[in-house]
Amino acid sequence: MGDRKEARDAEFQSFVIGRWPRLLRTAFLLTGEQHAAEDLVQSTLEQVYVAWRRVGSADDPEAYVRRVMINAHARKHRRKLREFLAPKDDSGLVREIADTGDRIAQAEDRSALLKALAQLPPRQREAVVLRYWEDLTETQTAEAMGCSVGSVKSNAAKGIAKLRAIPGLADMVTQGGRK
Amino acid sequence: MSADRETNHDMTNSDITLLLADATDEVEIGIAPYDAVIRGGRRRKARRWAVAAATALVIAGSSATLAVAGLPGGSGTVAPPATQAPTATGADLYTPQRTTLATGVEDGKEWRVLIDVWAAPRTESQAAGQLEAMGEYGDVPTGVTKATELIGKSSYVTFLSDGDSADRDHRRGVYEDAFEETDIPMRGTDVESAAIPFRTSNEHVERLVIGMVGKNADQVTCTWKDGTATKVDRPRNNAETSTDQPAIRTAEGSPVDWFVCLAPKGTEYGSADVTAVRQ
Repeated sequence: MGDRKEARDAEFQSFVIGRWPRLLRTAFLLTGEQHAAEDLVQSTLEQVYVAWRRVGSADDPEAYVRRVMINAHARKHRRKLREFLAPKDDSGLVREIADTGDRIAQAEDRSALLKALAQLPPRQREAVVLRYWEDLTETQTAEAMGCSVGSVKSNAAKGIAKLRAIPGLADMVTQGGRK
Repeated sequence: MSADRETNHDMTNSDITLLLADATDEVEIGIAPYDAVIRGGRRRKARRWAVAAATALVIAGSSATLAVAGLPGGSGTVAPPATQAPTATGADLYTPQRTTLATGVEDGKEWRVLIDVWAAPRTESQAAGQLEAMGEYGDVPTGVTKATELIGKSSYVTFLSDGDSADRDHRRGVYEDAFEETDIPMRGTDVESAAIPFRTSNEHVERLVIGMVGKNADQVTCTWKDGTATKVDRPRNNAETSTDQPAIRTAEGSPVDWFVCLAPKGTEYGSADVTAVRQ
């Protein structure tokens, strides 16, 4: 019994360490802020820990983790997102040191994208992040969001359309992004 | 990552992917806070399994035994208890779906084990109404202070009741938790069980066992400390079985099934395992 528990603990530890970077990046796109992203992933993993005995032996633990994270995001971060991002805009700080060229332009692109994401309704944001960052199929995205494939299609399409409608971002998209 | 594409990704959508990837470069990854995750996870477990004092909780396959806080006493008015499972379905958010899991008589005194399952509210106003109703039944989940914490969760509480009454003054909570859509269904030999002292006045041994199993568990064996065992079977075709006969039972609104075992006097809880599974 003790051995099995130790093995399960080791498995969970390896899961946490291995998945942390990717989960944090996804959470960052969902929340738009470093600390909110860390909180979201930590809270997700705490829930996964509680159910690990069954999650760890499930066919697709990743699917469970995604679903927990999307649910947690929907519950906790929906209303906070804009507050997190608002102070970053129009700070003027980057312009004062604009001579660093491309790096600043790239930072502006990121900021524009994050701001654009933040302006999407949560379900559209989740659909865009899961489809285009997590690279999930529509079916997998629907499972993670707990909705129909039709709803994923509609949310992702609306989200992408709104991103394209933002002037600076539209340029970036048509140019394939500045790198 | 994923292989099958269900729609065509044109060039611009690929570019969105690149832009998103680029945006994540802003994140400082750092070291995974494993210890904090474990601490938080344990706290959640303790809340999840808020059971009566001195209850031993055992999750099958784990050596973990948690001693956790009792159910809240609460205050306020006591509503007349429902004497049978309400006919309302999950659509009724303000009345628990109550199922009797076991009944018996010991030393001339009747006892019952019941479960209340509350349908999941979807909105803040539904949750507020449900929290108020829970207060009347004495079913407010431990640690819940805001109604919004109930949204999307089907809360439940199992309790031992003396005699006819199931109100707060005549019952002891055993399990409380919530079913969520993200739960992975129990199946096969999955079992979670807790034991409490059957009588508190002069007996402190944990004789009463309540547990949950998956829908395909056909038999549970409760093994007592003295080496004897009690087998609890699922009735054929889930046929109606008297509650004074031990059985694996469905409960209204519950995605898992339930069993109750009572150890003979003089011994106590050892373990509970699924010993037969329907193929």
